[in-house]
Amino acid sequence: MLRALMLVLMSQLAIACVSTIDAKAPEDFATLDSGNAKGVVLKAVNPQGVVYRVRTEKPEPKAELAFWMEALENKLKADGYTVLGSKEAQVAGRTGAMIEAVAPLADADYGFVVLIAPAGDEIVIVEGAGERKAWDKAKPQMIAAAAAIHLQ
Amino acid sequence: MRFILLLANLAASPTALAVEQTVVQVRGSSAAVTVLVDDQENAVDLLVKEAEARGGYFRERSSTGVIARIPADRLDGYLEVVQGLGKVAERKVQNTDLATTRTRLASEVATREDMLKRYLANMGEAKDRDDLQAIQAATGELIAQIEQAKGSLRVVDHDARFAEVDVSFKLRERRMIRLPYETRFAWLSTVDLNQLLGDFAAPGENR
Repeated sequence: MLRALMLVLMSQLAIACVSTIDAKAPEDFATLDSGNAKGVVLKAVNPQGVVYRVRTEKPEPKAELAFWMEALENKLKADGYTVLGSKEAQVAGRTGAMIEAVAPLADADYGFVVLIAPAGDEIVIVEGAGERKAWDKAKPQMIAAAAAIHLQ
Repeated sequence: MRFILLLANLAASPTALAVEQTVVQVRGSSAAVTVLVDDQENAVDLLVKEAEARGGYFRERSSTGVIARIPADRLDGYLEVVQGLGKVAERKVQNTDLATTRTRLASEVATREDMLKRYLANMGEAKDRDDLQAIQAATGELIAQIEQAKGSLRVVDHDARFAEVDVSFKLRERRMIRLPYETRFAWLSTVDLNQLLGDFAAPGENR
């Protein structure tokens, strides 16, 4: 009985936590040292300086994906970004969401794409940013890499 | 051999080079404009439509700009539309004199066509296989040169008819604001372009 209870608890824990995230750099990107930053799984950059980062966060309060997308869109708009759009997207092999925005930074305009997906009680966050033209070109590779993330 | 000498004489003949040279006013115009706007995508769409409505076309378009070819006599009107889209950060209009290039190319075409006519008129004088091979080679080379010059002439004429307008859009600077509600959702405040780029900056580098 105790053994069965332990097994149930362990399986629940496995659902609740993301133990491993297998993320690879997008095509034409080079992987960087992720450093010791909390939750950062992967950092990569391409020759044009477009950056790509995969990380996890534990969102509080618990809420549905749609809630977070709306909150994120509001936050970006409030911060001064021009939101180009948001839509459903494949992230880590599951249904997630993607939001694209642009913002002026120094002399250039920067593109910023954020993909999120729930993973147990955490949320996987994929971010890609760079000078607008280079970012436009690299976006398909970043979206494909986000879809190919493997959660264990 | 005799025919080869004849070809050389024809090419060097002063009458072959005597071509009427008419200098006409030919001008190419181009403009490069950077405009600060709120919505780049809509601005690009609008300029593509405006170019087409004026009998022009777009040569290149991206999410941040457009390179359009506009009939030269409608350039000013198009630039007014461009400048009306936002705040103009940079504007350069350049006129290039194409008359010299055009005259040179037209002269090349006329001279070579004249030479070609005379080569062909003297074809009957070919006495043997060597003569025929020489005339074939010479006329083939002339025809290629004529076609190349005519192609360049068409490009110059097109450049004179259609001005090139290169428009880049940048976002209008806006004041960054922070709303109090952000603090309620701590993780959302970590989604930030500055923070992301800062995470990739070399030690000591400030964005």
